[in-house]
Amino acid sequence: MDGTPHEGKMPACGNYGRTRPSFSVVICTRNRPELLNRCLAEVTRLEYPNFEVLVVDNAPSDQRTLKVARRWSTRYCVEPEPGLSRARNRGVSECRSEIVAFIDDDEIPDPFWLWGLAGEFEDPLVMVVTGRRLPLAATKSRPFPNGVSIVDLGTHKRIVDRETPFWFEMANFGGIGDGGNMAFRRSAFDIWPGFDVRLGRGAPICGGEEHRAFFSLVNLGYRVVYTPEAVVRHPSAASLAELRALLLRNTAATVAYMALMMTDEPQHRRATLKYLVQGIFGRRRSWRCQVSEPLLIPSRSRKLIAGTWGLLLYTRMRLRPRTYSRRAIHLNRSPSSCPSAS
Amino acid sequence: MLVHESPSSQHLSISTEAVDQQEQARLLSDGFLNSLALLASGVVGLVLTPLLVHGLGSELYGLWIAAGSAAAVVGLADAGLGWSLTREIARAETRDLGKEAERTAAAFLVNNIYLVYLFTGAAGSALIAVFGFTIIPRLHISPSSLVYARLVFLLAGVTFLASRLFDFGNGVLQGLRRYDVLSTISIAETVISASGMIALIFSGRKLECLAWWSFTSLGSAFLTIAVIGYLEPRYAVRPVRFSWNVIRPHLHFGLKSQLTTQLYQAGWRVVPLLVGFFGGPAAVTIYDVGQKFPSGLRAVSGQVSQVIYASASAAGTKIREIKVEEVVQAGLRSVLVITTPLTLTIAVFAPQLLRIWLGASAREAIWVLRVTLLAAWLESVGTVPLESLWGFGEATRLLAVTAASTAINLILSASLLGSLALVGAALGIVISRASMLAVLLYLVSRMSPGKWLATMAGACKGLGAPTAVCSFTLIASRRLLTADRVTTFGVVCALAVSAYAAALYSGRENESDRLAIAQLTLAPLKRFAVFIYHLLARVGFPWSAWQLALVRILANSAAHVERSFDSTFGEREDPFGFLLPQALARNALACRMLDDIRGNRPFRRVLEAGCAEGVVTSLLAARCESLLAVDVSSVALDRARARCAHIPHVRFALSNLRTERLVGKFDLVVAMDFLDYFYRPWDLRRACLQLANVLTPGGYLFVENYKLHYTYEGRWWAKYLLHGAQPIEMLCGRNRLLSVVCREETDTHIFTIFKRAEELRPHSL
Repeated sequence: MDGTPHEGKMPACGNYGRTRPSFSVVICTRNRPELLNRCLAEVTRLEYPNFEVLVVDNAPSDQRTLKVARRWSTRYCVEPEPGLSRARNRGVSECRSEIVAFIDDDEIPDPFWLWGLAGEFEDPLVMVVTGRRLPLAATKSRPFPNGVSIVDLGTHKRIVDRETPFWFEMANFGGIGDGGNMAFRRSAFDIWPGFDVRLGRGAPICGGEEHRAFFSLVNLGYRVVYTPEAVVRHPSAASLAELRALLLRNTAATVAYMALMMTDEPQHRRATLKYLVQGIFGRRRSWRCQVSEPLLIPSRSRKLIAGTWGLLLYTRMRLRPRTYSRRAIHLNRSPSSCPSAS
Repeated sequence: MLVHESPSSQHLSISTEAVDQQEQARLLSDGFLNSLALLASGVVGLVLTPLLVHGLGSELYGLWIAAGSAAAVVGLADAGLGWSLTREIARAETRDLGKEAERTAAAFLVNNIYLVYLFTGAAGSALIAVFGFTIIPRLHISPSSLVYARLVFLLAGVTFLASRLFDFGNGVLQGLRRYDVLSTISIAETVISASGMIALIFSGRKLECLAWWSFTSLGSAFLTIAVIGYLEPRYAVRPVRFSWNVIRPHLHFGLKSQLTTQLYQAGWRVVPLLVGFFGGPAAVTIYDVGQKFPSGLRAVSGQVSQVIYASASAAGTKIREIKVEEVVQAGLRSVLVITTPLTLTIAVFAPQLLRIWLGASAREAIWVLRVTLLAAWLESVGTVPLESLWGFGEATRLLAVTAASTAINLILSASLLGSLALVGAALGIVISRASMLAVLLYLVSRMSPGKWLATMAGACKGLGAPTAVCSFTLIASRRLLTADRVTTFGVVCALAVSAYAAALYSGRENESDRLAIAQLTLAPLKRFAVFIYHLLARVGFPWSAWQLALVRILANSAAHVERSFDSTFGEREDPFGFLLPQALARNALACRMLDDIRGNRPFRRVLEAGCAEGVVTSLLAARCESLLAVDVSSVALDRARARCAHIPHVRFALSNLRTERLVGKFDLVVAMDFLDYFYRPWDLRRACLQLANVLTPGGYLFVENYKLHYTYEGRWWAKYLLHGAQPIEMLCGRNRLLSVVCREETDTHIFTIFKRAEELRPHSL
């Protein structure tokens, strides 16, 4: 298949058709109705027998999102507190299906996306399945069709559990996929408190919530699978400046995330430190599938500044203990969904 | 000098500088807060006293005052344990380590002293009651009031008990240095009791009014004690076995303190008596009016300097030289900062006010005012070394100094009264206060051989410009104050005080003033905002939901709705997705439900409210004999007409149910995706009523709406906000004519068919 995704036809290989668990597609959005409209147009037309679509409107300031959700007859709910993690937790608490799939509001799924995800859930130990993210076709305003901002993990399936070599690095630093294309078993949220509200867009540390989720679940003994058969398309950066800003933001988030891991996971402190030192010395990771080194668009000094900024982000998060304390992480779940309440 | 300054001492002085500023700011803001309560009770008293005199009648009011003074006499027998309490707690609560033993001892002391207060309060109130019962027959009271007289004395006893308990709480809170809590409780009590009393007086209930006063004060006393337990569980009142040995060591200090306080007050209280004795009652009136304003200043400065006592007690555990100077400087600063604008205001305005009030005889009163103002100012400065020494534990010396000063005061006043008349009496106070100030300063400076001149200068630093600004404002606006414009007085005062505060804030001489002003003005505002935010979040109304609901209600006037629908339909075809497969599936479900209901015969007259582009219209047309479809948007109607051009029995009409009335009778009304666009609850109610009213008896109302999130639908306010499918369905169901005959629910929508009841007829046989 050499990397070209299936175009609108059911692929012959894989587990298609054998299991069909019920899906909820959760789309967290914040004041981007046009993108959401484009996304919903595709999501509501997905090829799958039983799935529902849930739009989580995060801290809305108007009702444009509501109108779009209504136009496409999807379910709609509001998470008043800003933060991607909070919105995802809210979405999970609102849906009742076996599997919860997450997709970003600016992405477009392939028609057989849910089939690709569903096949991997046969294994009861698999809690998370992630999929492949490919850039949208190039247009004039988007001159980087092979956008560097999107990490393509390649055409080989990856199964990560505690026995996998480098599982810690892969789970924490983007070796098993990304938040824009993933599906969780609903029961995972009964054994694990949900996405960390300190992380994610709109929270103090702007990223890394899905990695922390992968890490926690693998650390608990479950499996996370990357499948190249579930494909979503993501727009690449519109300009060089935007791309650079994106990369620098990712750097800052990664540094802040490392600081968080250092303090919150004392058993894995050495592993984190090792990863950091190796990264500074420019070590190639075997699990990174990037064929060629991406253009070094941000200079080293800029990366350094971004790293410092990341540390500041972390400090700021720590200085607001009331809002983002460990206790507050669990408070986000609505009472209706708590297993103990029901 | 320079040789001795090692780096470490420099470092020390820098760190103490920082501490000093914090402490100064704290003293300033605490002092202000502490005087706020006084201000509130003063203002309320100003309003309440005439009302009470008028409402209670002079006899009952007199009785109440008599009972109150009996309580005051009993209260003189206080052992001054409150002072010891404050002192011990302040000492134990310093931030030094290794204080646990002291804190435990202080907690034990607190409980014992509580017992003492409780006992003396109960005994005192019993005493007052007994006194009242014995004295009542000798008072010449009219028979109608005689019924109340005993109760009045009982209530005075309750008030006395309340005041004792409040004194206890006051002592503990002062020791904890929570003046904010203290003043909040006092102000709240003042406001609540005053408003209740005013209400009761206006409804003519005299005795209930007094009872309200007593029991609110008792309530505030218990509240204070409860608050202590909440703030510092260590000092919560709990039952202990009373132990005399715990109290005894503190009795000495307390008694001396009490005596000193009484003697200190005696100067001001006895001089009017002297004046009356030698000059007659008319002179007393003039003297009393003259010293009215300075006593206000005294009261405020007393409240401000009360704060110093706790601070000095806390510092007194480790008397380093730097500490004594620090306390005195910070205290002096706070007193000066707060009393300066007050003194200036009195100095500028009070003579004019006296002239307005007294007319010709004002000259002497004004002189009394000036001299006593000087005395009050000297006293307010003098309270700083007084309270500091007190906090450091020098009660014996203070007693001696106060006694000597009071003696000087009385002798001088009496002797000068002959030669200089009233001014002489006041001069006696001035001289005694000046000498007392000098002696106290000397005593304080003996405690540590520091640079006292520098300390004094530091306390006054940066006050020049604000004072100048304040006095300029006052003098410039002096002419505004005339007999018929006394109300402008308040405005001018506020202006002058704010100019003073602004100058103090903008002058960068002293950082602690800026800190205190910021603490006093910005912090409460911020705290209030946060409080409101959390309150809203607590009742389950998060801000964004709030905002959204508000916008939906405010922005959707009838005209705006028409415009917005027109523009939405103008932008593109099918903006609401009625031709999408999901919507078609919904329509199919709706048709199935309607078919179930009607059976074989078609509906006769059908109304479709909100037909949009006519997708549902064509489906309905096949099931009825005549169909009227209305919509608010002309653009949509044009498309609907085009879509249904081939169907003859369909009519279209432009109608906005928010402003227009529906006429006609229909045996089916279909409102699909219609009612939930009525964002204003009152519009929605009217529309629902109209739809129900145009039904023939036995007709059907079909309602389908989009489900919103729990945030809107599931909360208590949903039945008032009426956004979302469920509240709208419930609203229709509340109509007594309608009852549900068929209902379907999907993930996103609720479909309901209501049936209108047959016409209600009177019972007839």
